[in-house]
Amino acid sequence: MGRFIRFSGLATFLLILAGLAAIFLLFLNTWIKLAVEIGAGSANGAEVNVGQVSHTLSPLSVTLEQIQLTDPTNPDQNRLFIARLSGGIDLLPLLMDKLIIPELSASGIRFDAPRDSAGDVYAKPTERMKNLFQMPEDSELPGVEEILAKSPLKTDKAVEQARETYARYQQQISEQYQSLPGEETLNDYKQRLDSLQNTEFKDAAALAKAREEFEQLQAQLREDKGALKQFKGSVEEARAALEQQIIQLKAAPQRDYDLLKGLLVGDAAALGEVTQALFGEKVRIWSERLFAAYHVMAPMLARTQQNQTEQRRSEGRFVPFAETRPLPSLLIGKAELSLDWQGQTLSSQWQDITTEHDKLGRATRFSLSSQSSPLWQSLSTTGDFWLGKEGLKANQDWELTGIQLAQQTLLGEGKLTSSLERGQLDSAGTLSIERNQLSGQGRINLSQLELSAKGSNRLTNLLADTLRKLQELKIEADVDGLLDAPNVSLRSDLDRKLGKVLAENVSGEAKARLEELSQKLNARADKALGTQNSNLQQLINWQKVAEGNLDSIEQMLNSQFKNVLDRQKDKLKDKLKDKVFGN
Amino acid sequence: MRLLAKFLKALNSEASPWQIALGITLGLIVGLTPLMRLHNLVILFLLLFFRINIASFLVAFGFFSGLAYLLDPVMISLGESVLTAGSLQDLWTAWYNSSVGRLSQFNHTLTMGSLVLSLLASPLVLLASRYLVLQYRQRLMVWVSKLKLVQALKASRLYQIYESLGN
Repeated sequence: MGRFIRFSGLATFLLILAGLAAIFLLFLNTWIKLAVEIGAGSANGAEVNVGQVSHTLSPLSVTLEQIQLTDPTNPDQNRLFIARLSGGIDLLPLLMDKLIIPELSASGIRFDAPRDSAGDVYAKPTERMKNLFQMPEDSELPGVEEILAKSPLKTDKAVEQARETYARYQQQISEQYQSLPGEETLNDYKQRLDSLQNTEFKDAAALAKAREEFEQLQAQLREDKGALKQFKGSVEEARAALEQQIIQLKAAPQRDYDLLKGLLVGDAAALGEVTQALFGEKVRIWSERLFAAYHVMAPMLARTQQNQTEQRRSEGRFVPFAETRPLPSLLIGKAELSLDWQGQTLSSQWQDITTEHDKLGRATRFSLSSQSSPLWQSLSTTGDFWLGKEGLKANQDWELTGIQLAQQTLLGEGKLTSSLERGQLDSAGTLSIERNQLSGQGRINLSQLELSAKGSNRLTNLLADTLRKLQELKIEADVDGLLDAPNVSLRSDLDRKLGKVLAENVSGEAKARLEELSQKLNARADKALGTQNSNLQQLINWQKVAEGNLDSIEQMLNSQFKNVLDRQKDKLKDKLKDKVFGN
Repeated sequence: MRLLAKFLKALNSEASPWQIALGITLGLIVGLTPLMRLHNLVILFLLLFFRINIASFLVAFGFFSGLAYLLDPVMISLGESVLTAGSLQDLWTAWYNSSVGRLSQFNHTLTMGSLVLSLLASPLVLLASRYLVLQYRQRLMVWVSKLKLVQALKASRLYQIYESLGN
């Protein structure tokens, strides 16, 4: 036995195993720390730091503390800070290269927490356009001709539509008119009818022939009546359509004036999108918090999925086979995430967090609900998302009431600066994502507002005055665009109010330009109105002619050949009486 | 250098040619396949538990590890063919669904290809290396020791190490 077996070798083997186990256990926390920092850093696109790691072997669990995810757009801040993250790990799936965490809890989550030192950025995000409020000086305003040349005018459109409408009916009506009986024809009908009615027929054959002619005339009259009716119908339809176009044409210059006066007295974008300019950036930040599931977690999960695929194709590849119990590579059954926000704690519940929803067959679901606190009355949001082959598919709805807004800068640069001193926010809405395409609507009601604002020229001073008086604002928000380039557009009656204020406070020079604009718009419409009014008059005349001719035909059709017959009968009766009574 | 000296000593010693040949064969398997694999732990156990020459194993491991860089494309291609062979799918699927199967990483094309190649080559390497050890001892050992080069080497540090091993 000793010739083949080396018992000292067995001891060495066990010693090596024990040494490996000791090294594994000794450095396990460090390896987990490094693995999380590298893996999460790659998913985050910027440096990730883990403060402390601890683990237990039975049951297998890991606890991470002080996790910092650098914000790639602002490396001095953490996009996310998690004070403590702990969860158990299923051992058997881990042997099969699958990380299954039945329950996970995370507490002390904070957004935008400052970092001690700037973190490294691995994937530079695309720069967001700065949203400045650039109101021009009076001298920078464009001229009337320039505005008219560049703007798609409703007046021009109305002129064209009126012309097209008339042209569309004109040919048909002209053709119909050509086929109508003229005045001469009608007079001829009348003469023939009179002749038939006034002729004294001497015998029955002549009477029968006259009756036949009368019936032919009646048939012709009925045919002409039909054509006239059709013509009249066409004319009436054309008249109604043209009248409608003329109404629009009359209103178009005023509409253009209302839209374009902003261009003459200020910046159109600034006037039309003042709500966007004022609250757009804040709403974007709020929406990133509200849609954190998609803005933070889903992209990280998607990147994790991508990294797994990339790593496995380096040297050789892992050939996948059918699994008897298919499990995703990463699955967190249940998670409770506690978010710290302005001294308050918000708890959210998550189910089935994974990178492979197609394999799991269920979406990741989440909900957050919080009742009364010093900073809000109630917060509620629920949603789900599914990372599939065709991108992200998700739904979320929210209802937030009575959120107390702290002092914050709305516009820090540009010709108008503004800050929100205090206010209360209510919001509700829905968002859905299909193949990474966003679609959502929401309302944001701001009340108990106190805004400070300062302008740097006459126009922005006017806007600042209006903003300072603003106490409430109802904003309609539309969300669209792609997941990585979302577009949140805001509108409110503030845009109209500010436009009105500016229009009422324009300078003398601007007033003259407004007058010029009005005149030029009216001039464009007047010429077309003259043409279309004469066209309308033509239609009215045709209608009258058609009605007159129809009356004539109607009268002719009402005349009866019976009268002629009656007369002939009376004559025969008279003759018979004479013969019988011998008169 | 110390390792090479040990290997030379084993060649020139009374160590069984089978022990040296087995060491070389196991070195072939560990050298050609990726190191951090479950089967290599089994080989380590065999190497230590049975009286297999460790020096020859280590020298062979070093040599075949270098050779593996050249053979990687061939072994990946071989692994791909074996893993995608229709007749073996049931076997691989069953193996894939077991913890040991997953730990072995058998479904990695390079792992499978290199393991298949080294296992196919091992009987040949085993017999060939035993034959070469015997031939060396019978024909070359005395002739080599008479070479001027070897005599010069005997005066060198390598020889001193070689000698010290005997003590």
